[in-house]
Amino acid sequence: MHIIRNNSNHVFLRVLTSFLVSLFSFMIVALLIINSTFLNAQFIINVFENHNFYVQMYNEYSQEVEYLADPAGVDSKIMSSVMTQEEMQQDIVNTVYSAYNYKGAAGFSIDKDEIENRFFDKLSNYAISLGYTVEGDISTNLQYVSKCAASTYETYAKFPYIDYLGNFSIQLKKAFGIGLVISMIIVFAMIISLYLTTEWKHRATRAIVHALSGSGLMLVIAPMAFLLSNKIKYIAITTKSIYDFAVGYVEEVLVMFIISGIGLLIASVLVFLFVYKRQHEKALH
Amino acid sequence: MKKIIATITIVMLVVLSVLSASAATQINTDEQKVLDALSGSITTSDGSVTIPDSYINQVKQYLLAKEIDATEATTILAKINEAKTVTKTVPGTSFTKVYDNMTSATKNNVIGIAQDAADVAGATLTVNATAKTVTIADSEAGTFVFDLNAIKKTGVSGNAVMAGIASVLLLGAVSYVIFASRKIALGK
Amino acid sequence: MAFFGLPLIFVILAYVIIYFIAEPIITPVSSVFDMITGDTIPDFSQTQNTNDILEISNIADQANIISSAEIKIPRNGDVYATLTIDGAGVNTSVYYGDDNAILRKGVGQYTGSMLPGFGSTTLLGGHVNTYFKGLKNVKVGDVININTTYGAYEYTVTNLKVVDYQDKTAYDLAAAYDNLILYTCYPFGTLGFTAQRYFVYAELTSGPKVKYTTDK
Repeated sequence: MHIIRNNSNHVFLRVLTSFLVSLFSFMIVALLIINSTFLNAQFIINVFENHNFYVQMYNEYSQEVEYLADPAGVDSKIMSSVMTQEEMQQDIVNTVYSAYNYKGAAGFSIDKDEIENRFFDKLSNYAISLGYTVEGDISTNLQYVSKCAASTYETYAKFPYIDYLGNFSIQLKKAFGIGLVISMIIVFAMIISLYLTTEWKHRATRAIVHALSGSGLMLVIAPMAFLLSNKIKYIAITTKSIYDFAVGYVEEVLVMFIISGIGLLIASVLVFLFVYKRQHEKALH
Repeated sequence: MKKIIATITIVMLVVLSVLSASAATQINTDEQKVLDALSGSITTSDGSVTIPDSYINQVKQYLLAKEIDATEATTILAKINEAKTVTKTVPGTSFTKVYDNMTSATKNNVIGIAQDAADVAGATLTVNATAKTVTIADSEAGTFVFDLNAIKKTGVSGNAVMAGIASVLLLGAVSYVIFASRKIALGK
Repeated sequence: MAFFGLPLIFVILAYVIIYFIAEPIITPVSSVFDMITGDTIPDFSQTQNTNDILEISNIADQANIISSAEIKIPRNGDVYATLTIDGAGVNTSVYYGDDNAILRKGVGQYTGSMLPGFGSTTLLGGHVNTYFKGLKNVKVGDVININTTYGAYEYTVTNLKVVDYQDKTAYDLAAAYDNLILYTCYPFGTLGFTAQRYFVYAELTSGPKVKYTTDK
């Protein structure tokens, strides 16, 4: 193969190759992070657990369903005792996994009818304890309360827009896979070409160091700037559980980018030191 | 314009205010022009409609809580006329029917016009699709929720709070479409 | 020098390239993000409706006409008045707004209706099992007192009616005279959600008029 010696054109080509390795390495890491976060149901579940989501969501649901008690003339605790936090947590988890793995009706769905029946049974028993007979208008009215309560539960247990997000994720996964493979091929090819066409291998390694540093900085600078700006905290979500989740989710993704970038920077330093040491040893000999 | 927005639900923005209740103003002649423009009939493709009285009252109370000057009023009036031009192509003989008959693109267009108008007044307008309310959040005047349901149907508003997130995302999606469609319209 | 300089140049170049390639996505997403972010970080430390409890006036000698510039417009969730109906056992706070949280604590004004004294309809709703429990005892001719932060108002009950909650003819929000409408769920003493509402209509008999336009 034609060996490229060190004139200005060759330096330019080496720098260009180094830049391309840097850019596509950044893309590889970015795609891997996106694949393991935005396109990954488990990541969402982890964020739930890290930010006390289930407890907050259940408390918000309880308050909302207790609001139905006053106009219905029933004890508010009757309403909030029908569904437990554990049940809601399981429904939330099942909904998220299902959205990310199944399309349309094939996946899990909350059994609203069953929940409605549970509310109705509880309300009927309460009505009977007060001396009412559950028939006619009373039965119809309690049925309506049960329907509203079940609807409220479903709204809280089914994460908003999860179907849309899940479907989007399923469609993107394939494209991401292709993008990842193409980027890896390009990086691999660039590195091979760099070594084969550069006479002094330590210069090729130095170019790789620059590429690694560049990728590392790309992964760190923008995410760090966004994280430190705290802009995400200004998002106008008025439900605490969802707000904490959204902020936590974005922050954890940004931190992953930053940690990956720092990892690449450390790797570039280590490679640089290795090259420097080799050069120094060669010089001594 | 406001009635169209009214049928779109709105997200409550920064609901809790730690500010004390604002001193009221009076409705000046410029603000009265805005009220008059909203109170008049709006032509549709098969008749005319009017904005519900509840909305007019809510706008009145919003304008009592803040001052709008002549320049802002002129711009807002232009936005109202812009929205009225849009509704001329939509069939409907009642406020809610006009909205229901709009295409997605038209709805998005009207939301964008409404947001521009609110922006002129220094407020942020958001839409809650689930609860079907419109909220104007003004750092000076407070938060005003435009709600068509005068007599509460007990139990339904249970979704209002949760709809907060849904509304933010919906607003985001709607705004994206507005932005994209406006870019296309401007030939960019 | 190149160890620091070149990577930084790579970063700048990469961000520029990514921006130009992804600009059709970046710019709208950025505008959308601006639209869904507020000016302040949401504060969840308070619950709604622990807003101002505005000082209720106890006006003995009040003017016949007051300017809206002299009063405080309540914000959503503020207590701005007390409501009493002697003889019917109704004595409650009046909140501005009528969402679920408010109706748990008192009687709420529909914000699509006007405040007392503003020359139109004031529409107040409350739960039949709590703050409007006594509404069933109200008779035509009874006096309703609403004591606001800016004036004391007295109404006389003129009519009682049961209507479907969707019946829009039950109220006129564009009325050109001061009037009061109270409503609650009907039938009384039942359980569950009902489709009917019990309306109490009253007309203003005394209280200051609020001038809120600059027209002479």
